[in-house]
Amino acid sequence: MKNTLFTTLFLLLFFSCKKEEMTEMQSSSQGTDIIQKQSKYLSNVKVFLKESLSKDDYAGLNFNKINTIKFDSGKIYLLRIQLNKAGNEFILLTTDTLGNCTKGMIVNIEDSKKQTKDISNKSSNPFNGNIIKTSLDRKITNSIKIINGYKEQSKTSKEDVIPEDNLLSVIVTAYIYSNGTINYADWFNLLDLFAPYDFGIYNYGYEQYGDPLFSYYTPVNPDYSGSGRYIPEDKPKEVSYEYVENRPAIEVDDYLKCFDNIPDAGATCSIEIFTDLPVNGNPYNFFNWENGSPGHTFLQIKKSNGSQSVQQNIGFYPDQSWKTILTPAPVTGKFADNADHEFNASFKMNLSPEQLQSVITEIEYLAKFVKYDIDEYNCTDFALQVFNIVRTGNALEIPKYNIPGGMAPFGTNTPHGLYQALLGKLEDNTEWVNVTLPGVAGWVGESAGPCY
Amino acid sequence: MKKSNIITHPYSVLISFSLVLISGEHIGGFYILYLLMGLPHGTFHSILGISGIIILLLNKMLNSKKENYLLMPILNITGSILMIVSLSIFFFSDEDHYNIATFYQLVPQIFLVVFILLSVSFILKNIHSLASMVNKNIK
Repeated sequence: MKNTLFTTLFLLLFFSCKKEEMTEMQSSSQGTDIIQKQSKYLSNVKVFLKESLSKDDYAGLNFNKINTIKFDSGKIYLLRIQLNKAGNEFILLTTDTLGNCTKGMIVNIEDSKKQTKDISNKSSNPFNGNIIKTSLDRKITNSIKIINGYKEQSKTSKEDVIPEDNLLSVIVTAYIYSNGTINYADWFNLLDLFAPYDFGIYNYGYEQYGDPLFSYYTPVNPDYSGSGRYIPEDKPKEVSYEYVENRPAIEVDDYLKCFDNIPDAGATCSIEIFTDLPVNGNPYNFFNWENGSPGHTFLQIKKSNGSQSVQQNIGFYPDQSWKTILTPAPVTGKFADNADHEFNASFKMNLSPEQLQSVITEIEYLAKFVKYDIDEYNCTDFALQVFNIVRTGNALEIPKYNIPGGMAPFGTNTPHGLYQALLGKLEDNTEWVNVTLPGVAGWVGESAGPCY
Repeated sequence: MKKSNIITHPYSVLISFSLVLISGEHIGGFYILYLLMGLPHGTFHSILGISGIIILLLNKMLNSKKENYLLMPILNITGSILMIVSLSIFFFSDEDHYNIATFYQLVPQIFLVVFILLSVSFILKNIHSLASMVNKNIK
């Protein structure tokens, strides 16, 4: 029995050692294989680049700073090779697994304001600059101007403002490490440079409007460590666009808390009231008969101090609007984030930090009990009440209108009434500068979101 | 009256269509109000919806006594389809999706589902009647 046990143990020990040895042998042969494959891959790429690039550009290639970006389970590659030049210029090539190149370009990402990312507020440092895409022979150049992370658009019509793509071109993300430090990185959208089918993607657009469902992002400054020995891999990050269909309620206190993160001393603050007409380009229509919309009025509150800045867009809505048909009494209201909301006119007031505090206190106070009533206390009434809290003796007054089914004896405040009043402000010698009319329509920016 | 007759009665479809409960961002109400408000302004969903209602009503009033009248199921199907198209245009042609909350809130959902069930049953019943009438005429 003893012998049997001893033999069994010996055999187990032997085979376990043998297995490890075999694994080591296998991995070392696999490693050699990978290196051989990678050097063959690179030599194919080099042949292509030698033919396509100018002598200067080819000489400037830094093969110690390369990485691959893999799509479609590794069947489609992008190879990035950094150029030894000032700034962030690199070559991007679409290749197959053997290094046969199909498409290439020189990309230069110019960050116009290289700034230290502020860890207390990530939205305060969006990317501004240019992404310049040039053909490999540098004959065709295409420049994309990036403002606050988005491609620059002309602001004449909705079609122009949100064309085929309303995803950010450059996004900023943060990583929180276990030791508590935060690192910010810029990522750019590969689908700004390549057509989706270059990556084997054919189902890209949102079926109804043709807007993209997702985009692929890769770091502006990738991690090249390991280059020279092997080609490091980067998996592009897929960012899906979620179409917000049903406006969710927000905790208004959490949104307003963000302003406490910015010191008052030396801060610049403002409040802006926005009106979104029911029908764009028709300021005399108080109702959209196509969809039953009376338009919308909302507030944007901003506080900046040095590199820190917080902006919140807040609007007031009924929680369940179908209830308005069942009762003339006010119904439960909700506050919603109006980031990126459309507007047709706005009126801005600069505030002192103390005035901003009184605005915040007023919103917090109203949020505790206020109910929505389409003809007596709607989104326009809420926005005006808050806006006028800092306009003692000079309240912004707007014409009232009778709305269908409305029972308010003196009429109702409406977004189109606010628009009329803002048009009237253009005649005002002192305040006309604070009125913005963006043409047919404009869009407000992002909100900082909640702070806990 | 049998239960199945109530479900597939044109008045049931008409009532459920008129009472579809809309929930917009700021206001809501029964769909018939939206149809009536939009009609003077010539909105497409109003014209289609009201046409559907008129076709079903007139068809019921004028043709219900006529036996084996081929046009009756055809008009019933046409009227119901006009109503469904009217609702689809109202919800989905608006790129702001202003009334999309209707699909997310329970009470409006119930009203919408009732209309869909009644109108689909009504269409199926009329297709069945049409098919049997055609078969009879062939024989």
